[in-house]
Amino acid sequence: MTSSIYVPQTESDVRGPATGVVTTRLAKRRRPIPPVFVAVPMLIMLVFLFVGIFGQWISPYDYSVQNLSNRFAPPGSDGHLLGTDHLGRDILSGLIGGARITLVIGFVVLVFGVVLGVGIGVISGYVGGRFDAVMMRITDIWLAFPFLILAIALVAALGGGLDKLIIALVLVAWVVFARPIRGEAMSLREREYVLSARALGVSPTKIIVKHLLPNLLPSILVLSSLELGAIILMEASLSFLGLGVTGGEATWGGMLSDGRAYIGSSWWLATIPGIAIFALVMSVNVIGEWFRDVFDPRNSSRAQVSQEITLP
Amino acid sequence: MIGFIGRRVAQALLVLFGASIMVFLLVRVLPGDPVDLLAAEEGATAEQRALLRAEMGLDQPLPLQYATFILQAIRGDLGISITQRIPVSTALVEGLGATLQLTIAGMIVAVLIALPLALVSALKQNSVWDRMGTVGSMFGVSMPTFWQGIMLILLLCVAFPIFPTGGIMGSSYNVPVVTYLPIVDSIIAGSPDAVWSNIRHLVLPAITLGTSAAAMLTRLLRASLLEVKNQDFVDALRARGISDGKVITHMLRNALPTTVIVFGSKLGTLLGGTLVIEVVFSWPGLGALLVQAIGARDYPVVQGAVLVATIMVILCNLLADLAQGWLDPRVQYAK
Repeated sequence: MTSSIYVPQTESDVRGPATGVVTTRLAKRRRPIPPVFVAVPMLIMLVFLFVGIFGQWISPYDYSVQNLSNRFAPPGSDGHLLGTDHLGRDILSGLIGGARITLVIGFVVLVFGVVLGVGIGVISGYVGGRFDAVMMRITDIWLAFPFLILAIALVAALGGGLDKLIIALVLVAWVVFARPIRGEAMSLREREYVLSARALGVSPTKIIVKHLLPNLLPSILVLSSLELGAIILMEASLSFLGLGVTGGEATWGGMLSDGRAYIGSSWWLATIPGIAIFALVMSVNVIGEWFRDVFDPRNSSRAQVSQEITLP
Repeated sequence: MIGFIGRRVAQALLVLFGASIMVFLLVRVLPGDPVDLLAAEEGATAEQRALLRAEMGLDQPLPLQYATFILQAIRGDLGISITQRIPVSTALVEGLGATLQLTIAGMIVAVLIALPLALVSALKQNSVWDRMGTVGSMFGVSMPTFWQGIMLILLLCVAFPIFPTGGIMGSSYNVPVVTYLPIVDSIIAGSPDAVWSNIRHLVLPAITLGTSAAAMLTRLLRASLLEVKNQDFVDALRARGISDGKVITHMLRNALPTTVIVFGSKLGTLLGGTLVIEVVFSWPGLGALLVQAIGARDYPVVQGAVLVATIMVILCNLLADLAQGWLDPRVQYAK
């Protein structure tokens, strides 16, 4: 009777551990995503990026102009590929404008979050001692707050507007980087090249910049690509709740929120922006997983468990 | 064991202390003096404003204000809602009950989905099922929860009117409030119609919450199971002829501690999802209350809601910590 649990997968499984040496078998990694499956998300991302950058020129209509004579046109009507909303605004143009806002917010928050989080993490990990202890306590407290609620509270506290939103999201996002980077910095700190650099009297700043950061880059990349999806979702949620970018600009979350009232009659108002959000976040996540496969050679299951970054 | 619990509780209290400071500062940072807001309604003079300020304790130094805030909070006094003129704690307790009911239902759904999926994925690694499970959980993690809720409404309330679109219970039922948990209250009141109505309203939000939690939980559980699967004791059990079912039980028992602790730390994120779901399904919970209060600039309620939410998250983390200690006794001696 064959066991459904244990099947020899690798050589070491069949031969057993090396004699005389205690070994632990690495958890078997899942097969990495075949490159063909990454091509599609990459394509989608490129399309979104293109739309985001050149949106103003390819947008068929100006989203801020209402056209009350042509409300609720279904997708496929004349001149409106994706239909119009309750104010007669073209949904496709709304998507394009929203793409720009979402991507801008996403990348700006990511960059600042990385700078802040990695900065704190690597300094904390390298210096250690009381600074590290204090920083980790602060991170713990920060993590105690539910992310979305913290973002909402920050937005309420700081007020509306694009810059305040970015600040709020950066303050929420940095913790995700600080902890893993600190852990890695602490393990890198004991490497021979770091020890010899210290022995030679190289200043800590130089060590951090020249030795630690380049070796942290793969992890930073992996974390960034996964966190980008979370940031986009947070921005969409905040816009949905009416706490994102205020003013008549198009946001995907805002379009969804508007469309919710008309779900009975005009399903496309709420469905289409949601598809856009989903497509973008899914692509970002798949690319992030692929990055993880490519860049993280120590990718045992344990690393997978602790590096999970998930989204509201 | 006692020492372990004591240490964890002490840590949690420390975090709670820090979080309360943050919540306190958050609201004090708000633009717009509450006194100005109130005074604007009644057109008060400068003296009246000064009186109001003194009455609200806003003229005292910040640390003193914080101390007052904490002492009052411990006694359960979180201030008065500006918009509704009722004590904040009253408004919050009702919301809390509704949110708890939704969260528990969501968690049940999540476990029901995630456990079998993760088991199949881990046991038949890299098979078709595993692939589908991985893709599925990535779907779940990438999908905006509010959009999923709206799509469910579209499908199951509009296109095929099976479920009601929102609210917590049919409006014709008046169930006396005992435990603030609507479904328990319905059972206590002995009204099967109310219970059924409550369940009908609960299904869609619980499914939405459950699937997004399940996506996260499946990945965690699968990773833990994979790690456990390759350990020697599994071979040992198999070699002794222990049946598959019992071996799976052993594996689960070993995979749970890591899963529980990581899941506990992600619970905060889930709470955010609950908030959005409450808004989509008009579920009168804490999240909906918070959003309303922010819109209405009702700062005492905002402060109270954020504080309560934070307490819940800290509590959940503490429970997850303790559960890990119980499931994996080695953890108790770690620190």
